[in-house]
This record gives sequence, C-alpha cells and structure tokens, in this order.
Amino acid sequence: MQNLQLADGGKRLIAFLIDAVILSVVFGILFSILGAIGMIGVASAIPDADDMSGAEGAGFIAAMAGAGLMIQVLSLAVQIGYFTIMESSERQATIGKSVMGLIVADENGNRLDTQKALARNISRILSGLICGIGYFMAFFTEKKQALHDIIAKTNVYTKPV
Amino acid sequence: MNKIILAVLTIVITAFYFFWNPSKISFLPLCPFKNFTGFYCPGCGGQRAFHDILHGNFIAAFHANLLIYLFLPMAILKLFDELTDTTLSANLVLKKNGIGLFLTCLIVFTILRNIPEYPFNQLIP
Repeated sequence: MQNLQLADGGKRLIAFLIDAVILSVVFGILFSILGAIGMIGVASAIPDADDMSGAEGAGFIAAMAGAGLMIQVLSLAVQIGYFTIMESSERQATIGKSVMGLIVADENGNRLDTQKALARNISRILSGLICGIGYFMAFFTEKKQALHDIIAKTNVYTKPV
Repeated sequence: MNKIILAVLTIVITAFYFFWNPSKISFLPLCPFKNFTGFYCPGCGGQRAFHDILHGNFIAAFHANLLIYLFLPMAILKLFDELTDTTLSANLVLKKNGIGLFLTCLIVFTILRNIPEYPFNQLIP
C-alpha cells in the first residue's frame, strides 16, 4: 500500500458536481428518446382524448405514474452502475473524480472489488435520501468519510503522483 | 483554481437562496424521502432555513430546520479553511463515537419532527 492522502471535501464536492453534470446530459438524451417513444405510443393508442371514459382515463393516469416510477428506477440503476463500474475499475474513479485527481479505495488503500463498490454506491442512496446530510458528513468526520464511505468502509484519496 | 471554483460556487448558491424564496418556487429539488414516505427527513426545510437566515429571520429558520444552526457554522468554518489553508475546523472533526452520536441525534430529530403534537410540531418545516 502506498502512502495515500485523504481527499478534501471541497475537491470531492466539485468531482461530484462534474459527475452530476455528465449524468444529467446522459439522462437528458436517454429520457428524450424514451419520452418520444412513449408519446408515439400514447398518440397511437388514444386517437381522441375527449372520448376517453373514466376507466380509460384512470388507466392512462396509472400508466403515466408507472412510466414515471420506471424512469426513477432506471435513473437510479444507471447512476449506481456508473459509479460502481468506474470506481472498481483500474482507474478507481469516476470521470469527475479523475478530473479532480481522486481515487476511491478501501480503508487500507486497496482497490475496491465490484461488491464493495456496489455497497458504497447503494449506501449513497441513504446519503442522498436525508437531503444530502450523508454527503455533508465528509466535511467533518475524522477520515473525511461521507455516510456511504462509513457504511462501506471506503475512503477517497488524492491520487499519488 | 479549486479555491476560485469553490468561492464562485459559494457566492452563486448564497445569492440564489437570498433572491429566491424556496417555498415559492417549484423547480428546486424536493426531498426524495418526503416524496416516497410522506415523512419529513432531517434535512427537510434546510433550503427555507437558509433563505430565512439570509434575510435575518432567525426564528423562522429555527422552525424550518433547526439543524441549520449546526451545519451553517460548520460549513462556514470549513469553507474558510479551504479558502485560506487554515485548519480551524480540525478540532471539530467527529471520531468514531462522535459519528455514532451524530447519527443518533439525526434519527431522534427525524422522529420528533414527525410527531404532529405540540411542542414537536414546532419542528415541522
């Protein structure tokens, strides 16, 4: 294990913002395509919305809610997949983290296996669920760990030069 | 370079919350926890609390989310450290037990603010 230095919360925040921008662009493109396909489907299934009966209307609303939920699940899966694959790769970092010169490793400085990276990024949901307080914790915990780092026993380091 | 980005971000975010009232605009991120469960999370009301503090409404900020009085000073101190290369916030770091205590407080706060009876309803954002 090399002598690794723990990364600052500020750098991690910027890395996170870069990843967020990248993911929003990907989601924007993905959901525009899905939305367009959905719209074509709706338009062909309901030739005249004015003639919809109550039951048909309820069915339509339920279908829309289902589509919304599916989009949320899909975007969560894409996010977890992106972070997990990138962080357990040889690079040990997402694009945002690479740009900021950061790597993710376990508490001993070793590269994460897929399982550990997955645990870290599923825990990330919890960090985000409480309005981001889990992320904020990286600023004031001893090892500069966010809630998901504490749960998965991982750390973010600055990349040794 | 990082310091410049951080400083600019801080100014932009502060200005944003000063000029826009989070309870009157709809494009701000909604709490996913509240959305899914219907319960308030420990961070709910944080954006309103920040807006209130920027306008000097300290009591309103307390009602929106009293944790702002914990997080804001910490954030300011940390930001100051990052920008000036000082380590004032080093004394504030949470070690193992501290993290446990902090998380326990968060959970207790979350439970209390979801009780719709006086005095706990004062914590509802």
